[in-house]
Amino acid sequence: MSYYEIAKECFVDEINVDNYIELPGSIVAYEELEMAFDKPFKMMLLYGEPGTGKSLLLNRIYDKKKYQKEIHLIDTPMLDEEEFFRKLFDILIQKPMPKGTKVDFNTFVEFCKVIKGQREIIILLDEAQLYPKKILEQIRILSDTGVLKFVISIHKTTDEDIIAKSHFQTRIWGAIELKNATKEELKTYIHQKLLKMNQFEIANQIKQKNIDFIYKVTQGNFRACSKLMFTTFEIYQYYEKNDPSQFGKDKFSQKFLEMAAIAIGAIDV
Amino acid sequence: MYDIPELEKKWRKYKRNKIKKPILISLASLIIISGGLIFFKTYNYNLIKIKITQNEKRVNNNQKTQTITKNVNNSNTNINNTNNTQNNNTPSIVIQKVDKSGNPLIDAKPSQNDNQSIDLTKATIVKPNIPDDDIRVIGFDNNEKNKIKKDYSDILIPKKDSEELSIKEEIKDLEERFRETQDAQDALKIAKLYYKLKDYKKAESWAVNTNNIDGDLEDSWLIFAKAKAKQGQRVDAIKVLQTFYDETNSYKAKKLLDKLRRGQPF
Repeated sequence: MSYYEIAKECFVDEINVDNYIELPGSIVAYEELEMAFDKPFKMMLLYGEPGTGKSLLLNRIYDKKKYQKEIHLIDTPMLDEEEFFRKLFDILIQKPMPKGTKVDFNTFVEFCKVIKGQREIIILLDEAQLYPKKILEQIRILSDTGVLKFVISIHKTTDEDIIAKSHFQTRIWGAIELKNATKEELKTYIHQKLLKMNQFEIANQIKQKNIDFIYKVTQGNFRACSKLMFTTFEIYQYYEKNDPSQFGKDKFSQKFLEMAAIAIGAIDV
Repeated sequence: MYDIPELEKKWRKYKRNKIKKPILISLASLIIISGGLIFFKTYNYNLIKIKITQNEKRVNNNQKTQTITKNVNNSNTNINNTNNTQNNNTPSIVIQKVDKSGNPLIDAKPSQNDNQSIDLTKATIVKPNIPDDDIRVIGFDNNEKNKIKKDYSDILIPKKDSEELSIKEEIKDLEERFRETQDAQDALKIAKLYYKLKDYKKAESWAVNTNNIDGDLEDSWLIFAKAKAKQGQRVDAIKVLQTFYDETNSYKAKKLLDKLRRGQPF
């Protein structure tokens, strides 16, 4: 496997908590979320633009806390009410639901009230903006029981207002906003990603000029940055195979970066 | 995988455009600046020329502009009178040649025998009947501009002051209303406005007023703490805010607490 192939793998768009890069912004968000777990909250709102690391943060906190707390992560939105309650039943009763049955919502709420004080279940709900309003309303009622606590992750769009204001206004204990990285954070992010895979040489080749360009075209968005870097190393691979004279071994190619930016549509020609 | 040769073509185009753009912008800027300079020079020259001729004492600011017309022919004609009537509101130069019968000569060339010349520099030019001091060439004469500034400094209010003035007026209105309503929201707004004016003592006092009416208003705690901290009582601010935070787990209070503890600006 060539260096560039390994480097490319560093930037695959996947949620892998082992590859989590701790940056000042994400550390603060993590700590706030962690701190919230110890408070009597009903709901926490986690919001930010796509690609700011919300899903990764949820996965990370789930991974860290799963042995200490009764915590569950629902990372794929469940648009069907029946499916959603099957999952909740599974979480609450810790047994799969018998076939040919369905959850009666009122009974479910009553059950929660009965076990209040005995259990405290945290449910991390990713991509919550995709849930139908009816389910959101049921989540609101369930959170009132004090047994099920929800961390709701949503994109920062107008829907955020709908969720934050109409449904959960009084229930939301706190809101954590995840923002795009600063230039310094982006630099650390790229370097750390490469260093985790022992790509010291390539990491050292990426200079401030390259970082400035990456920041300019991605605006510090982690997903966009990963996509750009992934494509850049893909281009590297091509030239390594077909025309190695196109790049120097000791300098990161600004040309390939620009080509990658064109390829992913980050800059117009 | 992308079509790399095609991508490289696009990259070359991108590079060309990248180089072209600044060159085109520079050229366009150069042309605009040159044009502007030429226009400026010509216009400035004309203005100076007119000003030189306006050196006589003026009597009255409101008196209408008078035009003195120089007749080429000694005979009296009504033509100039007519022109004077029509143009007596605006400064103008009227140079008119007429024939013996008093008709205007339109295409007549100047004769050497004539006592008059149509050379503009020799003609008497319009005299606006206003004092020299009131003639301003705004944009060209910095001394004049400075003079205006000096003369009217007492009535010209800087933008910042006018903002302050409007905030003060708003406070006045709100205070009057508060006397009748005793509304916590009004009191809070007053506290915020005083804070904006950097009158931290009053901001603190109004935050307390707000809190006495409604102790659940998060902003009143925040303003109180901020105003305290601004007055150098950071420890007190932290204590108060901590109490509020312990009761409410307010996210904003937490953020402010963190900032206060770290000595960060807020």
